[in-house]
Amino acid sequence: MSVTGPDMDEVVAEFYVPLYRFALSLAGSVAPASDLTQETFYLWLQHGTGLRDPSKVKGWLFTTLYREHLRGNRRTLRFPHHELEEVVSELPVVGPADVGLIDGRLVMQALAQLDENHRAPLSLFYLESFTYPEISEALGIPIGTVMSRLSRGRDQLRRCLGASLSAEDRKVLPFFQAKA
Amino acid sequence: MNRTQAQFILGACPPGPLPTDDPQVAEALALAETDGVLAAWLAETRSFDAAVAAKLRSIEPPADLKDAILAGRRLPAPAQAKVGGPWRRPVRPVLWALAAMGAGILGVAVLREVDDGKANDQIAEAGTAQDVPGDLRMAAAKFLSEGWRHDFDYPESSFPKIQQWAAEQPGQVRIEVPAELAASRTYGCKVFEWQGHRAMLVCFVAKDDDQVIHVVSVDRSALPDAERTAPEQAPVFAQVGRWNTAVWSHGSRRYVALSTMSSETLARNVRPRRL
Repeated sequence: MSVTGPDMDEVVAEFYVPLYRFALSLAGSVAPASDLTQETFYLWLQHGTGLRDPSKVKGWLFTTLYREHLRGNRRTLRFPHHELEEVVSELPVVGPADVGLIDGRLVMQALAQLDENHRAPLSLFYLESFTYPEISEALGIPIGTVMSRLSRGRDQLRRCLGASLSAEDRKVLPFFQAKA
Repeated sequence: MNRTQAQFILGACPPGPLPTDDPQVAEALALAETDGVLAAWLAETRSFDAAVAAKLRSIEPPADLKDAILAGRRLPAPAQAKVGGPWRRPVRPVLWALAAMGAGILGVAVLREVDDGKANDQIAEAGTAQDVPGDLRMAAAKFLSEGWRHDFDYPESSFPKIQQWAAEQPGQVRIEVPAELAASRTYGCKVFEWQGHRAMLVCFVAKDDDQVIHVVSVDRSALPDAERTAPEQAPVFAQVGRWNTAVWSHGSRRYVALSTMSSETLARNVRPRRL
């Protein structure tokens, strides 16, 4: 693929949506996710166009986006955040039927609440159907670790969704209560 | 293989058809045929995964993101990219700040409510327009090739500390911003050369919606013809592609603010009443 011309259009057309979704799951909000996506394609222009094997493009893009996200985190780590694993066991769990009732953005928000180690592999798993060897390669972690993080991450996600559903329920006031 | 091992293997299969040609998956599935607990777990988990995947994949990116990405490749590219340290979010905004200075302050193209395509065309061409200094493009290219992968010079969440740090640097870069911004959290700052002048970028986090506002400050003498288009303490707003921008002058400096937030929110953050 060359730096300019239709190939770049093809790469952007094929990958900007899944990359954005992955970025959103990592960054948690629209603006930084958009920046991450743009920056990934910019890096692609700088360094990725030399790839000989077109099948490597997808992995290159997702790996690069993840690395850029980690670099950015160096700055934000100074701001405190809660460790989900400290409280996750106390949260309610949701099942498949409950998920069907939830808005996609709420699911994304729940995903964004997971700690970094579980969020990234789970995002690739759900958003792009990456297999565990592909996740292992993209994130640079052992296959066994990927499998255990997927398992624990799924449990965390269920509980985060349960907490989100509970919070949503609390927003709906009975008519007489709202009126009063 | 026991039930727990089978759960690990089957639980790592992404949503969609199970890869039954994988020997481990096949063995786990065979176990599920004789293990009712495992079979129930598998059905419930696959259903959950499919529901989550469908929900997540229903999220669409911002409508202008693709155009913004494609427009970005038309900006001046560095001839020889040097590998440096990490330099993340401020990169593109800085480049666009420079372009905005060319487009907005120098009067080449102050864009108001123009379509994104046209705006991006003008950004891309700002460095080649005859009445824009040729070294504007060079500055952008230089910044891309040498500075864009570098980390903040001073990562700091307090703007007063950034001001103090800047004042202690060689050349004493001054930066003063409206009170609303000054009270906002920051990510850090970066000092760089532009047309022989010291410029400074500070990345703020808006208090009301957590979006980032990038502010570039450059010496007033770097843009002597900008009195009309960058008035004293009275920001002029323009939309440039997906960015809302504000330019103004204050004291010895000219300022460009860029953000993807709405123009109204940006205006609230850069209003000059308490400068």
